[in-house]
Amino acid sequence: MLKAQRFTRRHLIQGAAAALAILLPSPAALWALGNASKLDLAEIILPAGLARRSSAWVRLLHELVQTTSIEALPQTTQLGPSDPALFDHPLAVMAGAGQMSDLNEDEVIQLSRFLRYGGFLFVDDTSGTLDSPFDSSFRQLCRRLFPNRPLSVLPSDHSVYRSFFLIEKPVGRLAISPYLEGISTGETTPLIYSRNDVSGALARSPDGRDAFQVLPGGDLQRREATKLGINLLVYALTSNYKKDMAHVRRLMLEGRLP
Amino acid sequence: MNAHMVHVLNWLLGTSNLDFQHIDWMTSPTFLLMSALCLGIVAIVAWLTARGSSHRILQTLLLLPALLAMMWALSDPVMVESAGHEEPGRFVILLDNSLSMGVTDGSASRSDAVLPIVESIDQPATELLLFGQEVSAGGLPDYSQHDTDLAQAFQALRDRYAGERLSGIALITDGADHGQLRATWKENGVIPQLDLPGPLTIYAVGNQEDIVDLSVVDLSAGDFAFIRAPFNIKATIKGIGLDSQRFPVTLTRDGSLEQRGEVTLDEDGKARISFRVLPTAVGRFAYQVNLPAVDDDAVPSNDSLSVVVRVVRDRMRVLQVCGAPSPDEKFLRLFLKQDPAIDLVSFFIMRTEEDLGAGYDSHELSLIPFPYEQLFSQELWSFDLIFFQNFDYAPYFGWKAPQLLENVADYVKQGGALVMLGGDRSFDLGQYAGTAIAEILPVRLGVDGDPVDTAPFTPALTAPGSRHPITFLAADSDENLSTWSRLSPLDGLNLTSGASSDAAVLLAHPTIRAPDGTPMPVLAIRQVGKGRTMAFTSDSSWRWSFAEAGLGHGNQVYLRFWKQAMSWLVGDPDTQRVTIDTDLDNYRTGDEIRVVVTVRDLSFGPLEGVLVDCQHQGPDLQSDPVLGNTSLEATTDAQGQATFSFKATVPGSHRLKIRATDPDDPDKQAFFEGDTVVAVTSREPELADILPDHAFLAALATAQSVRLYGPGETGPALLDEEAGRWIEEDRSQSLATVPLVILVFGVFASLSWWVRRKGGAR
Repeated sequence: MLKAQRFTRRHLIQGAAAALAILLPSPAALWALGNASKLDLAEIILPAGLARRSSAWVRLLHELVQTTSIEALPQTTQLGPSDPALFDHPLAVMAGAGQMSDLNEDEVIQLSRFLRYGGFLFVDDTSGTLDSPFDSSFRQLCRRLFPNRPLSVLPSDHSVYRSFFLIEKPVGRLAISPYLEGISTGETTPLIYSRNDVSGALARSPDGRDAFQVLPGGDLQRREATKLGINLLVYALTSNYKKDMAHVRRLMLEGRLP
Repeated sequence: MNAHMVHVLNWLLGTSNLDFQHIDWMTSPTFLLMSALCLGIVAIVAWLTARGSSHRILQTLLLLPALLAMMWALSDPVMVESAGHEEPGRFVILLDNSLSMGVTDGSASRSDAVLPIVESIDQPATELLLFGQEVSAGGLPDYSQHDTDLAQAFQALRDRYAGERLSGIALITDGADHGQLRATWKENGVIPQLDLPGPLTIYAVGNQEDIVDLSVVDLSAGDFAFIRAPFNIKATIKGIGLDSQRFPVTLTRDGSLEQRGEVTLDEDGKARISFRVLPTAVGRFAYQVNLPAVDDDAVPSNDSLSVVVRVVRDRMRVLQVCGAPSPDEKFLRLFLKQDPAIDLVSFFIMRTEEDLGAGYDSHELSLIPFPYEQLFSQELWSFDLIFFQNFDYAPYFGWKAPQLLENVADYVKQGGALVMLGGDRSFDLGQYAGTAIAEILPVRLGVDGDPVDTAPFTPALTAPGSRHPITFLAADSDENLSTWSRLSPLDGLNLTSGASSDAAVLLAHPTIRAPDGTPMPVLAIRQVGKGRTMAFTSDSSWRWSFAEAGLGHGNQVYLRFWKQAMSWLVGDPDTQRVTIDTDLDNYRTGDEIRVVVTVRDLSFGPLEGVLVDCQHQGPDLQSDPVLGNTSLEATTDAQGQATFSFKATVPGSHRLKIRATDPDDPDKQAFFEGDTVVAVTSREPELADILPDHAFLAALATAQSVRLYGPGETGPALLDEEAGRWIEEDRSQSLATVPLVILVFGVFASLSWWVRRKGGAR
């Protein structure tokens, strides 16, 4: 059994030292284990159909560092789907509006392996329409990546909606789709798809201003899109952590979850 | 017929007289038929080859008696003469040879009363049958039988003397029958007719009033228990001649005192006591309930009773505390969550003080407070294994940090397991130097200078690492070395002051040295008290999963590494490559303890040729007077098994320590060390209920209408004066080669041959 918690002078000194340690700057910031240990994003590129939204992803990583405890490098690495370096970056993004180039068999195998062995891919349709060429070509790719697992609507209690923020409606630059879609393997969802142009809400022009207007909600909607982006990255790292009973019970007790 | 003729006939027939009863033919009919055919052929050939009709007829007539004599000899006739005589009926003494007859009632043993009873019977032609759990004849009593079954003894008596009329039967017993006869009488009050082959006289021995005995009658604990789930060990205590007295009771585990208690015997001399036990480790444990010795104790050996309880783990309960979500956390959680044998509780620090200014209200967040106090004060003991993954305690524990960290250290020392993984909030960067955690880690903290090195590196397998089950990831040593050398580099590591003095370094940095000149530890392990700790000073083991998968190698190396690490950390016997089994959990003194050690390779196939050392340690770590602290060696066979046998001579807990060594290892370092325990008890079922039962014997006497003598009484036994038996004496003699047969054959065969030659035939 545990010892009785008797408060001694030794405890007082140790406690004071611990309290002082909290007030001092954390040495962690000075001594990270190198940039290789920090989170960044792989931005998948194809010859056609994809849009480069590096500024959006860098902004998202920056917001992530500012908002959460996660150590990240605000940078992206552009990689093809068969590039071996993809496996140095467990989180990847892909955005586009037009019809994607067809992936060859090796690329499909490698991308499938990436998703099955722990990688996470967020796919963002930036077209602003529900039946874009990107949407149809992406759905075709999904059938090749996971022949037996359909791309389906993520339920409202999916962990991605509560991984950090409580999200009621997953919006981006637009709000044309009220849900996210994804492919789940077991209890995790390694691939999530949005048709609301999340990266559009985060993208910046070279002069540092927002690249696109957010409709219909303006800056409030942009804020919500940022929260969604943070949730996506936190979910990618923690998967169904927020479904653990300790969290669910507490959130329900506090009335934050129905 | 005069005497001379009878004499001649007896000589011719080879007999002593002519008063035989019958002849048995010993040859089989088939052989006899074949012989007749052969002899017939001889007669036909002789007929056909003879010359002259008169000679042919005469020769054949003379040949026939010779052939008949031959047939007689071949049919092997045996003459049986029958005789016999009448003898008086035998007298049988049925003597109880069980252990209860050796019990001392007052100043004398029950067996001391036997000789005067036997002398008082004084019958000729007396046979002694000893009974207990079995019946034997012709020996002397040693009162060593482990049970008493009277019904079985009577049945054996009936079988042995079937058809015979005995002059009498004397039963000498204390009545402590554990068989069906007494059980039926106790249940229904009925004793069936025994239908014995002679009149029965019962001589009762034993004196209930003089007995003093205190015993543990019964002990129940179930066959197994779950770790950290309390279970009860219930004991029934019985005292004879000690009614309403109070006695201390102790419970020991593997010879060490576990709990104390007290019982007060009721008016019937009975009491019950229950010990609530919380097992904190997996394995086999010998629990023993002990009573104090009392004066004039009739059976001291029943003062204690042992039972082995197997403590198992239903699911491994793991706590993962992480300072910040990261790829390393992600892959470890994926691994832990996918294993159905793991019950995972995760707590990730999602934001720190520095993140509070991001401009979001708390009601927008789905975060919950970190329940650190509850975890590290109350729930700590419910976990098998704790991961501190890049976790810095200081911002959360506050002034309670010393106590909470000490709780974690105590948890490990008492059987828990802790893993600290590297990162920018871990080891020295997590301010663990000088805390209770630093004292249990396998690496020394308080490093001078840079606490990290950020250059990627491939860790080198050390000599202990090349053998240790955690880092042995391939089928053989060469492949293992090759596997480690090709794994993806790690991103950097936390620097330390080197390994703790009693730690084992399994992976080390290839170039960086600790201040003491030894290679900088990357993976180190340590046994701390009853628990284990592990330090992995990098935060990028996830690359062994993901990068390997990208190369098409799958993630088996990563999964195997962590699976083996966790198995070692929690000391799970079921997942060890070496298992130790005994044929029983509980033995009696005199039994042979058989230990089978099974050694498997990494793929759990049998491993042949492994040197196994088995050291036997007697109760309470004292030497066994017969064996001493014996050590035996054996080599595993094709099934990967090495077998040892020890004689259980001393009651109590016997520990068997096993070391397995690769015979090709020049250093003879054990790659496995483990132990198991068995309980040896001197308790005899026969001595569980030692009271004589004279009421039962009286009921038996009444039911059979026989004579009963009480304790201390002797007298003549009931006799059947008309009993007797006919002794048959048969004598048999073969008639195949008696002189008459030889004479007939010789004479007629010769005459036939002479007539044949006279006729001109050859």
